[in-house]
Amino acid sequence: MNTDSSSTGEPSSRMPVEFTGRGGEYFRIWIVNLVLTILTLGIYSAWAKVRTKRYFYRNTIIGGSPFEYHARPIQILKGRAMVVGAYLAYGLVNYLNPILGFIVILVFLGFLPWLVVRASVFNARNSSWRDIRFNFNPDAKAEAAKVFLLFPFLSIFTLGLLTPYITYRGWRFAIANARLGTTSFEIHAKLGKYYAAFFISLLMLVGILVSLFIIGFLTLQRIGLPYGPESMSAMRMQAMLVPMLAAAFFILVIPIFFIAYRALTRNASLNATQLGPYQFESTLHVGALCWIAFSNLLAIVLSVGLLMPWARVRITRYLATNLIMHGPPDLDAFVQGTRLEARALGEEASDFFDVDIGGV
Amino acid sequence: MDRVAYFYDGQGSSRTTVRLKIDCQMRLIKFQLGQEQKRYRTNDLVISPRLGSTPRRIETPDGCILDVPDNEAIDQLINASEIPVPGRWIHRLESKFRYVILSVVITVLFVWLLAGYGIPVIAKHVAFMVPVTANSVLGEDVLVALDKVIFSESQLSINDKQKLTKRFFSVAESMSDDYKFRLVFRRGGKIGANAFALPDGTVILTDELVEKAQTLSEVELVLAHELGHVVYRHSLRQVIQSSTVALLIMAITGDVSSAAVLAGALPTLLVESHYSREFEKEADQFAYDYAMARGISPRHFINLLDRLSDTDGDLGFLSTHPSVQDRSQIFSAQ
Repeated sequence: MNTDSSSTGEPSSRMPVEFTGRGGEYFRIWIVNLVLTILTLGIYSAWAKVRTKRYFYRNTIIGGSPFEYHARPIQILKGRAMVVGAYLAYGLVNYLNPILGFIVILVFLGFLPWLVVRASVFNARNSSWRDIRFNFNPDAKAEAAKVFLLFPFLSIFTLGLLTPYITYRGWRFAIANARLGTTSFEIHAKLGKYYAAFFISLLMLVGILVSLFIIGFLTLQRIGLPYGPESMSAMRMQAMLVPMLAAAFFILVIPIFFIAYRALTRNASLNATQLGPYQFESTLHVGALCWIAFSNLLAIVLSVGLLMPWARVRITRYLATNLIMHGPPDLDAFVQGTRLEARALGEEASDFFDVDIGGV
Repeated sequence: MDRVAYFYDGQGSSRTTVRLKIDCQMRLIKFQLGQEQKRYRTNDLVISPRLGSTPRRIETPDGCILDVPDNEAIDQLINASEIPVPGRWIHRLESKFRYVILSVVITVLFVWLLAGYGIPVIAKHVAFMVPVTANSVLGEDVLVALDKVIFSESQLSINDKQKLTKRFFSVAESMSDDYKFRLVFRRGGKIGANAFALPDGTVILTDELVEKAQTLSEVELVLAHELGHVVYRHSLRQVIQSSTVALLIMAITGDVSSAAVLAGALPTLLVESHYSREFEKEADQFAYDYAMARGISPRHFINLLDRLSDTDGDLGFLSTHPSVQDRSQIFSAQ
């Protein structure tokens, strides 16, 4: 994959994505954003969002050039106002008549594909690299309806066996509908890789559980189970320990499955992604990712949230530097084409309801 | 002096490195692009506000972009040209240590006040706006569920039940008619000596607690404590407070991802155990006031608590309550 211009005549070089953000720098931006949001009773949050997004985009660099985020805060503020309004209206309806509230949820679900597409279009059109805007196919609503409504609904009846297929379709939706200028992204991922990722993650989880069980059993045997009247306090200790261990189990062990699954499917998807003459390579390592996730979590908890910015920069740097672009080193073949505007409602709504579109 | 800058024409993705000449006196920038000499007056440019140490973005009137890594040079140009750059002052806040410290202090103080005082006050007001009848929806289902999982039939004598029920209604008679007050007897089993209040006015009393009590007044004050939870609408307030805290943590961490939820788990736990201690204090106060009004010695309540704390397991009446020492203080300080 090194620069090789002699044999094929098609020079190809390896271009890792760089991330130049720093924890201390982002901390200052984050805390000022927070305090201005508090002092303006939340109105500044739209400006804060744009500033944060710009900080991360401007520090993400390919071929020596940063990305740029173009959304105007006032667009986002309008979107947020609409979402909050809708949410309050729903709360009122649900309070007055829970059945009507349920119907409102169903209607909202009907709009979900439209919202996802709108959010993707908004995000893409407001992102650029070398001043070439990204774009997203606004006609992908039918596909969105399948990926985000129909398949998840069907998967209820298939014991999760459809999950890898949904992930596969989600990535295909996010990538194959995207463009940079006039150049389309393509994805040639094999469905089998997603099922492999699912079962590898599952095996990993089972392996960890079994070894934890064995370790726990051996330790108990060595200490010996307490008997007799003096064991009362030991029993109390146990009664306290059991729920704590259960909590630790859910917080520490279960996420390993999700981290592994996400990392493996992201690798599978990006490794099969193409943009014009460029190939991508994603080199995420499950162990490294687990370490970052858990040490981040610990740092955030121990610092009562003050290390949040540091943690976010850290994970972003890891994700960025493990994405590598291969292809002609002079990245000048992309063309703008026509520019289009986008409104912010979709973006905000999806943010609010935590729609995960598995984006790049 | 010349600065390195990167030029993009807005049409294609080629990048050209140029030597940017910044002329603060004449308020203009110029650079050589191939054969062409480009020259712009600062008034015609859109310069992005400074953002950390990221390169400055300059938009020219003909739709081109310049990325300039040297932020200081651009700041000098902006100052000399007196052109407006919206949001410039934000970087000044971010770059001064004292403003950053001030921001930390304000944020921490705000979260502290909101979690400690704001949310409980708001929850109280909202809870009392909800009609009592809305609370009754919760009661019956909860009892049915508890009967299936935990309780078995009470083994108290009819006589005991009648005496206790009489005491119960002597506590309840002063309260609003909207509640469906009733006293239910169950064998606690796993949860031992305990008493619960459901939001609709149902109070569940376990045989084990009655067996631990030496006088009827002791049980009467426990019932008063439980009815205190009902009239102060603690269940509903707990629900409102928990969901508001979750929203607050979401707002601070800035996302709704699972990592944020996990990171918020510990502070949420701490805040909520603080809330539930406050509720217990309120209910204790209610029992104390009731005891004084009826001329019952508040000592009865403490006596029962002391006896429970000697033998109580981990799942009993005291497990979710403040320490007996703390509560004794409430009862003896007054």
